[in-house]
Amino acid sequence: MRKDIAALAYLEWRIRVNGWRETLRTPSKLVMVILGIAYYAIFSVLRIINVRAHGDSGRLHEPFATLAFCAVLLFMVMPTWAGARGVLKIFSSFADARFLICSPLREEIVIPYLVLRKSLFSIGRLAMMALLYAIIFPMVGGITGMLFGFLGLFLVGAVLGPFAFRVRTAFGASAAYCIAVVFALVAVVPAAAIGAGALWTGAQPLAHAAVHLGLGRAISAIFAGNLAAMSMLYALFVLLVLLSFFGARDLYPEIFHASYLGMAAVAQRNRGRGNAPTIRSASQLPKSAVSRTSPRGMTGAWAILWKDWVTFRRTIATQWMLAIGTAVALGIGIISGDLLRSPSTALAGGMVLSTALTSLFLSVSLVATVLLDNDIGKPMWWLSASSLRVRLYVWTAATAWRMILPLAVGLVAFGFASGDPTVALLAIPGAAVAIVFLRSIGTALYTIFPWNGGAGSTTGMLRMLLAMLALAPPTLAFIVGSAVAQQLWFGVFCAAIVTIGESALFLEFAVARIAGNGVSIAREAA
Amino acid sequence: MLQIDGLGKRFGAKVAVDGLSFSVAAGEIVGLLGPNGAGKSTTFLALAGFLRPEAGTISWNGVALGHDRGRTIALIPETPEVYPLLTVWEHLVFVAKSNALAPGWEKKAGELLERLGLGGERDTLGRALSKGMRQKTLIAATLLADTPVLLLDEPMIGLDPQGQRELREMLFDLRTTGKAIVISTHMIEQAQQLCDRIVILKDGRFVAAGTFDELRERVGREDAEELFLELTRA
Repeated sequence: MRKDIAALAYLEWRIRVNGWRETLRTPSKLVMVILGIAYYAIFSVLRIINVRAHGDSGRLHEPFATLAFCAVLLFMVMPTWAGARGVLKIFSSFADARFLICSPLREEIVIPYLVLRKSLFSIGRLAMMALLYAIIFPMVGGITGMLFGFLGLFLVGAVLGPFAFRVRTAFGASAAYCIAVVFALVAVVPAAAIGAGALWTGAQPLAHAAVHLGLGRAISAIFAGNLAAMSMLYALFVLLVLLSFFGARDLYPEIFHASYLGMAAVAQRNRGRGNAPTIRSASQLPKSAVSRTSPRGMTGAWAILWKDWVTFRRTIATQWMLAIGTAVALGIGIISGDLLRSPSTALAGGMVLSTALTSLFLSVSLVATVLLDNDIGKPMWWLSASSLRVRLYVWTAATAWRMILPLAVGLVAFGFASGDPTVALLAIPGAAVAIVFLRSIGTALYTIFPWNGGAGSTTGMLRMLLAMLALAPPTLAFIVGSAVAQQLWFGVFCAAIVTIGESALFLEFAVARIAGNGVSIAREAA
Repeated sequence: MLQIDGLGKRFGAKVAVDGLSFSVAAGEIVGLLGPNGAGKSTTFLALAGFLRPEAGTISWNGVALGHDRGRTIALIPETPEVYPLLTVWEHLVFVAKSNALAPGWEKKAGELLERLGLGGERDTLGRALSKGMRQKTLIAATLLADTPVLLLDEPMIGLDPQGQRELREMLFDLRTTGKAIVISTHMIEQAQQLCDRIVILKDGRFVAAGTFDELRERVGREDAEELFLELTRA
């Protein structure tokens, strides 16, 4: 056993050391790391100065603490569901599978190592994000409590997938799905009760009951750095690891199959350096998704629109995401609009709206980079008679509609709920302008920072910072327009004009950057 | 002897391998031939423990192989993936540590690298290696681990003529050391040069097996390509 652990420790150590060496040898990555560290250092110092001046007495109050607990639990439903479905990237690559399966290393050692590595990898990727949360939300808790609290929550989230997967292999998929559903219910029911209480006075006893469950106390204690709460969080992580794979044997085929999609994605990103070995698809395409003829008129760059539509019809997960996104946007629109109607609940409504818009901003600008990375690295993308400019504009439209639709629905709901039908009337053009703007920011930033390290990486954080700076011109236009004309709507009109202009500039910038360098940018991202 | 009996693997309703049986003696090279989608790669993935077959047994020298068959069977896949952030030498160190090789393995590893033309790439990271070099790295790692059964999925694809010749000679050498070697390939000529026997699959099912001479006699075709097409014709 000692030799097995030593071999795996050697593997991990060399990969980490060589990874850091590569980063130090690559000037662009090194500059990004330095900028990232400087960014966090500055904000950390500011936070410490603030703590010294005003004390570190941040605390999450009810019902927000309970809602935060529900949000965390809801976040954890995703990996649990993935594990229950049997889709889980435990082997990180085909090299991993080849060298570990075809070795005499004991499976009982290798599998916990893979799970722990997955968790530690999450820490590496998300430590910066945890620190960022600790810095930008001083009202929620202490900096140490928040940092270790977020890390602990990320760790538990990372190991919930393997836990659900183990339950699936031991007791069947239904048992694993049950766990995910229980998590979802525990998250949604109290949150719905609190939401209903905010909208309707008759439901306030329910909201009080949800708050009195004490779920929020756990989150508050963790973020405040309470030693007992923190110990329980990390103990839960260790317990889940042990329950997941203690005594696990003969699971390699299931783990390989579960990891296949993730490994194939890695191999695909490393195109030109090998592809995935073939495992045949277990399911056939539904007849409705098969396209035997190309639609009329969709030639040249418009073929991208057709390709995206065909891909959408064949991807159940994307269709579900659109449906869920639309439902969530509808809910947020109704809740925030209704809350904003009354002065007593306007603050809560503003918080719901601003949180939703911030999430939208971050996710849309990030998704643009991932989608573009998927497309421009493929030789097929470059086989077109249309110019790169036209293709990039069509691509932006083709991949933006899935986000425009939920946002437009949310805006319509918000308009009616808040009693301002003008918002509802302008929902579709407003959503289109906003989403195309965010996508163009993401696209332009991707061509500057093609290193695709995810949202929690240093590069991801820098992208976010620059994306936020890109919001300055429309914001200024709104302020100046409103002030000059003394009309809020003139400010909105000015902001929309500036937004459209800025979107075009970002896309032109991306065209100039990608021309002749597309594949190399995609490879650098990989 | 490697003995496969009644191997079966399905993907949903699709039967990928259906009751496949064949054997490979120590010191023998057997070619697994078949058109695209015949089930060659699936067979290899199941034999190496990457996929769980629904039916069949795999045994080595009469002993059924279980989940720990990594000690016995090594797979070199068609797309040879190595760790992008390990050097060629570090791959071998990891294999030596995994297999708890006796002191002195470094000499054998060094010789393997020289023989495979990887001596100059010892400190090159996996991400910087060409496909041929990655394949050679995997071969070096496999030979260092010294498993008695080798599975090579389309090993000649991606190798230049010199590399193909080197690999062929190396496989002949390995045969003399008593390894049981199974190769999947589309290249009939390569199979003729390399293999002592061939097993032909189609749609996951066994079609025929034997030496080329035996099959020629059975089918009545002299040309190997014609022979293959005749046997795999619907």
